[in-house]
Amino acid sequence: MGLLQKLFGRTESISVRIGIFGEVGAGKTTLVNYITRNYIGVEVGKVTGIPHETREIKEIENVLIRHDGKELNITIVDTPGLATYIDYREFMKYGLSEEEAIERAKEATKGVVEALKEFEKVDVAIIVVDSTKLPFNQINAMLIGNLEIRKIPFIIAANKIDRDDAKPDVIKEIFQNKPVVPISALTGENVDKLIEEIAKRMR
Amino acid sequence: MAPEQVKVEYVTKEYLKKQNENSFIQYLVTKILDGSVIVLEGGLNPVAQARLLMEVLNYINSRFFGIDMRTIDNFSKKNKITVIYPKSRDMDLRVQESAGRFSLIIHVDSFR
Repeated sequence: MGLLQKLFGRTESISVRIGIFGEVGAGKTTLVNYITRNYIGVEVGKVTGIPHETREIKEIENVLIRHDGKELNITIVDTPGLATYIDYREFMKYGLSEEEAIERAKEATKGVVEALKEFEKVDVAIIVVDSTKLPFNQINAMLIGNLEIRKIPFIIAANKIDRDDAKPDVIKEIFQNKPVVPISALTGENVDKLIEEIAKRMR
Repeated sequence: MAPEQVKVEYVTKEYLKKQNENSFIQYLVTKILDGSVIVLEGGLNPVAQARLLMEVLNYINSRFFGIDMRTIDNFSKKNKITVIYPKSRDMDLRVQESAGRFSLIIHVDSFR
């Protein structure tokens, strides 16, 4: 905190770029929508249930969050879901024609590449995992590994705790020694705790 | 068309250590596009995994969907194996592990 800020008791302002990463369908855009709806009054992404709905990076700037004497000026980066393969036939199950499905797969592919590049640009990351599923997969391992190597602080958001089949304790057990916050991006439960954890990591 | 044969390539930890990362990723991309299954002793570091993924995703089309990377570490307390293989219309792979051994079951189907 600067001397003038100390003298006049002004809050410290920190600019932070937060990347929201995770597998396809983990609830990243639902989380971003919840945060932006509550802090700047708008929703930014479409949530349809069709895989790879977010196929481009979306940046939401100037989300101001005040916490513990700090003002965080956040840029939230909603990234496309990560996947190691994209089978266009999956989209056809949701009523898309073969041509549309192939086009969507191409766009989704570009989105995954953009999301991978974003690793290098963020100050802090939220890894959204679906707590109704076991998170043992190469995507989560690769994500955590890349963030750890780059020394980027991250928090694991064990999402979908509003569902009866959610097992956030299992997620906590699997990711021992890593910060895990059980949340529901749909109802907003514990999202404030997630924000608190982010603020703690911004010094 | 499904490949008439599937090549499985085993790469030792020692060989992997000696490789330049860029050229090894290019080698993996070439092998994957060729339909080979690569079995690595140990595995790639997370940054190399992300770079491999970025490279491979450039080639996705209506027959080739990308890759799958599986870590096999239940069969042994000391050893870890990583299997990288192409995901395509024509090929699928399953891993079966038991104490001291593991099997790769490669299913090839040209009519899928």
